[in-house]
Amino acid sequence: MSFAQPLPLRSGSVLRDYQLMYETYGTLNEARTNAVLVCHALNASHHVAGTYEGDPKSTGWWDNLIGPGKPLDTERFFVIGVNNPGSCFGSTGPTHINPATQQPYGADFPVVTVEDWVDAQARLCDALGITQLAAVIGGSLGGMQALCWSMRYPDRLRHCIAIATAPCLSAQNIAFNEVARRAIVTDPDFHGGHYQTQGVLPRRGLRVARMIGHITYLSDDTMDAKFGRNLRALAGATEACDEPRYTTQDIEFEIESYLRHQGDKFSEYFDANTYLLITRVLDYFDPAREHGGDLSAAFAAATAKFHVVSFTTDWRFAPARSREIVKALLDNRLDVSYAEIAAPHGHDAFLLDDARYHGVLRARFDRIAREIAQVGAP
Amino acid sequence: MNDHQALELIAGLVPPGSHVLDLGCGSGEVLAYLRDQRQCTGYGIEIDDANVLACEQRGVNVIQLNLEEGLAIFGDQSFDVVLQLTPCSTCATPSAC
Repeated sequence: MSFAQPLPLRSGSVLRDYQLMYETYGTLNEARTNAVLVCHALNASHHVAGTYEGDPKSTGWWDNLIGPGKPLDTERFFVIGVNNPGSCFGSTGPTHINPATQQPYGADFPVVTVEDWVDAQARLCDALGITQLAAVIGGSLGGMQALCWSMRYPDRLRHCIAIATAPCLSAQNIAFNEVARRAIVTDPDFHGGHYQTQGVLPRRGLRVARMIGHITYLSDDTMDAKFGRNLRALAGATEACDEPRYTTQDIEFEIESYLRHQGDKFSEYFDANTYLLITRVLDYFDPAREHGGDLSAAFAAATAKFHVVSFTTDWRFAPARSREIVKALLDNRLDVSYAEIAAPHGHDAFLLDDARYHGVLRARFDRIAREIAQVGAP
Repeated sequence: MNDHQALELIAGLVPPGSHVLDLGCGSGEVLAYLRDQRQCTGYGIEIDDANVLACEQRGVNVIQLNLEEGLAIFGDQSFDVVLQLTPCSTCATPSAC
């Protein structure tokens, strides 16, 4: 969908003539009360569920949660997935043409924030004729967007579901992001962010950035269980390798092979400038900042009913950070439930199918559906 | 006395409209009753996964923490009534409760 009205950004800049890619699932009811907005994290898109016709591998990134009969049941809810501006899955971003120069934006794409994204999403909801969402849900950076909705547009959502997220990044989080950014920016093919006009891509930087990110999404236990100290078998070998090769540059351990594979895959589909932008979106989110560091004050205007979920082995967005959110909500006497799920998978757990995790989400969406039915009853 | 009578007896001690903290709230039955029959608000603290799910199914606010951490997350004088109806067996150090 194209938007002619410029989007003012927190940085003071403005995004002109932008478009947002979005997908919807299910049917908007007559009263327009059953819409649920799904917010994506760093590397995902508007394609949250299902597969595209003729492409069975195109499964949406949250397909285990969203679909007919699933916890977020598309037979009851009208689900909206939207790609945020600055990303690289069709919404206006750094690979698109800058109307001011008629060249790709590249590094000139304006810095965007969670607040800007939420403003863009609110405009999309306006265009779809939805004044109030039944719920906004997201994990990680997506959870930050859900929280932001509750503060910025308190009357426009009834439930806020924030999973594996934080009220702001820690210094350690920012540090990881910065290492990833430096990997990209120092790639000789980066060309100050204008690699597109040079006809090259900073794939090496992107690979390293993804490798670093990936380490932080997994728990120590998961990595040990999956890879341990296993050695990588030589190409063509039929048996597992049990003797090291004593090499400094070749792959020796299975974990190295896995990380390189993840990096390679990622560098083929993700845009480097988008990676810089979205890690900054994470870094800048800090709603307490304009309230003197008082997170409770930041939620003073919120009215939504909250559901906060964290995972015990998530060290990138640790349970302690979710408890900060819960405490701020409790200080405001808001409706809030908090589930701390003992899942082994680290930060990635929010994308996985865990019975306890999906159980509480199913119960929450059942409740939201009941509330919709009650309001809708004659 | 059956369970329902016990529930009514306990609920009768809670002034209508109270803001209630239920420590070890189990499946959320008491909080749901207080909400529906006595217009109370509040939260339960519960550590057990199945009970947390049951609370969520009842639409009761539940915070999944052990009792020590659960108490620590609330400010002083946050509640009109604090209930603890189950033995304090889920605490790591019961004396702290």
